[in-house]
Amino acid sequence: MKFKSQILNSTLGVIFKATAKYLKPDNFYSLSNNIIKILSIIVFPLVIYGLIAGLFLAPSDEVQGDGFRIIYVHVPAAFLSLFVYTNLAIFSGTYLVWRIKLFDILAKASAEIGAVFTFIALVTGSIWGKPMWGTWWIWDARLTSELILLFLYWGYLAIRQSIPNDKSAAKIASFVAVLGIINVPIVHFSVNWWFTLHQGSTISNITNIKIASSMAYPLIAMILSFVLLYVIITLLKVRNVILKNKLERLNLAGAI
Amino acid sequence: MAELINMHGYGVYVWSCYGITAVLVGYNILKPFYTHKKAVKVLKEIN
Repeated sequence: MKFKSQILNSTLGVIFKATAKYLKPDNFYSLSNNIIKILSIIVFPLVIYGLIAGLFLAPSDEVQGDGFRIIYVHVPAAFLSLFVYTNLAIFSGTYLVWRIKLFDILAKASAEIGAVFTFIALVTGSIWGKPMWGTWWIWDARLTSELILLFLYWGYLAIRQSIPNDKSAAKIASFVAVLGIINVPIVHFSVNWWFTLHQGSTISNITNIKIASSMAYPLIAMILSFVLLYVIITLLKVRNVILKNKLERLNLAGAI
Repeated sequence: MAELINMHGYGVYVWSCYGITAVLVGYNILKPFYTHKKAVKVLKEIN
């Protein structure tokens, strides 16, 4: 028993030490550089495949014709809007509990790009709605809750901009981000709870895909690509914040 | 070829969605990429 707990302690110790090392900005900076390089090499062929297969190779839909091809940008963007918000809430919560600045930087970078994905999901959804539903917008449960999600992202970023003291801005914004997580399951389940106009999930479970594989593979590729792009963009931003802080200490923040 | 672009009448909707996504995602990749280049250059100059 004692031996077991010793192994556990030393394993946890190794993991903790390795993690603690990368929580230091300089180390995280070089780690980001490497991750950005590796993920860029992976994401490039994945996006090319997803685009070609989605736009040209997948057969057109029986009901929606070629209009359904909007799915390959709309669904990944919508998935990311929720995925990134979940990350934002986790980073913010971690920052509130442990006050590690890196998590606040990760949270802010996530919010910036998460808002963009949410905006893309709403706009492409609207453009998809016009030929299929005959309207650009309707106050359907899915659309309304997704719009609230965009306001949560913008609210978080607005709080950070409007409060002059950086530390209190970070604390208040993080608190709001954690509370806003309530909206994530509402967006996700809205199509089941209130069945109005928005169609149900196409892939809600990897073992229960509701479309032909020639349609599904490009969609999976595009979702994966968007996830990788989110990680790349977030690290690009975090890397800049680390350098900016360095320049600020040298009184050169205005240079970039 | 024309049919690939026209997409049986859905072309305007499909291509505008892909275009908006490409512009927004592309901008969000390129902007921090160039900011980083600039910052590295400034740091190199003072060292």
